[in-house]
Amino acid sequence: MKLLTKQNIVFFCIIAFVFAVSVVSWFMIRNIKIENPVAEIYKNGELTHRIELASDKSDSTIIDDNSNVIFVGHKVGVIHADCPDKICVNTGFIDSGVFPIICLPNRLEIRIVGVKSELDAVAR
Amino acid sequence: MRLKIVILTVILFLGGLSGCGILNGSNETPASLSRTNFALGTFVTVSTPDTSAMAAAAFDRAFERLSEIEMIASAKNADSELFYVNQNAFKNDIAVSEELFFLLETGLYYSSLTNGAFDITLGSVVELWGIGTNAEFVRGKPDEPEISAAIENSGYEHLVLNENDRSVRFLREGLRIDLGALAKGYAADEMKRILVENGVTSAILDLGGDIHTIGNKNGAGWRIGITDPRSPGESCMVVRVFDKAVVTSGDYERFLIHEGVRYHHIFDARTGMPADSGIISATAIAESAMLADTLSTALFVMGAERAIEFMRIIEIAPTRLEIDYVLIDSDMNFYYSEGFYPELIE
Repeated sequence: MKLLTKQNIVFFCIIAFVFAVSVVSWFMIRNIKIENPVAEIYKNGELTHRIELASDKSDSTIIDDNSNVIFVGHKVGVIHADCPDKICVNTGFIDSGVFPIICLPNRLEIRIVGVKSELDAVAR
Repeated sequence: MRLKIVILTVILFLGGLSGCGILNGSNETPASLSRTNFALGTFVTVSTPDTSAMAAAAFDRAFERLSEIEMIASAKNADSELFYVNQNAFKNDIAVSEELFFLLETGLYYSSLTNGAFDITLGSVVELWGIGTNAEFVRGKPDEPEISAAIENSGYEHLVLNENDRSVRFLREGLRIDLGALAKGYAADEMKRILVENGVTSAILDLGGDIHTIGNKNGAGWRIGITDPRSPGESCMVVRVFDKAVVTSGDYERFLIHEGVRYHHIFDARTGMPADSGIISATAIAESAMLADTLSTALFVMGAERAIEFMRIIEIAPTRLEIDYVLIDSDMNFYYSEGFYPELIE
């Protein structure tokens, strides 16, 4: 039986081609970031809310814990606080990254998870 | 033959995709274990890519250890050992635990070594300003006589430690110890020790922005950003570290604004005022988070010239501590330790 027939060569070439395509596809798709940003809100170290950031800019939720008023839409931010320094309000809105919003006087922290970041942490 | 080709092609393609995790969705952000708590006046978060039950148990132990340290070294927690010492050590020899004695001894050593740039006896000054505490304790900038009185009640030379009976005595009635610039670093070292002892080989610890690392991340160093002091929601540089702590002291993290002037929370023992050395951010990188914590505060207070000279002396000392640092002054000039090359972000 002859192995190196024209038919067999074509057959193996097709297999090699398909295999190469699947490997290349893997590397390409692997680098596509499937991101699902979620705002995690901590009060006194306890996770109190876990809210997916909206893909639609018109969707929003307001959380009022009597000390801080938090807006969660396609970004999250503190829009009002009774703390003296207002660092939390001045941090603005976040939707990614490793910089949390922190209100130390009211023991509030807001972090975004589910998003790939260039950094593992930030020294502050 | 054609049918054979078609079948094999489909099998290979699907097999390839499935094996590579495309069909089962495993290309999402890798799972990790993360836990947050509030301790030592700040948020503490630990994360590891290890999602095993062993890692979860290690987290339990590490956070238990954090609670223990809080009950020993917190100046604000009315149930802590340090709080009791602060209330009772004036002209009394108060016997303390081995751990608190170690922290006080270490704090006193660095207070003396830095000639007071780092000073654990600034509790009265910290209390007076009340920066970063609840609104009712913040009265704006204190008056000059109040600040003078707080300075009178500070100074590490008024703290006496007795090794023989492991006791503490204050020589000033209003002296108050605040281990805020040391305890977080110590807690980070201790949590790291517990995690490593319990099998965690890769993790990152964030104690209110004091970063400590275990091992590496997928074979590469951890990428730690240094906060841009004039744009605190961004990084101005990145350092890559293995098994080291990165601690920054900056004028942007905790402050109060009084009559349009911003007063930050890192105090100069000589003036009782927020340090005005020209440095607005000081970062220390060391194997020990406690050392990095202590030095970042000291370098911030010293100012560039004195800090660089101090570090030069430290590095040629017999102990030869391996520490890197970055200082940023108010004109955004950067000063690095020799041979240290962080990645700058334009």
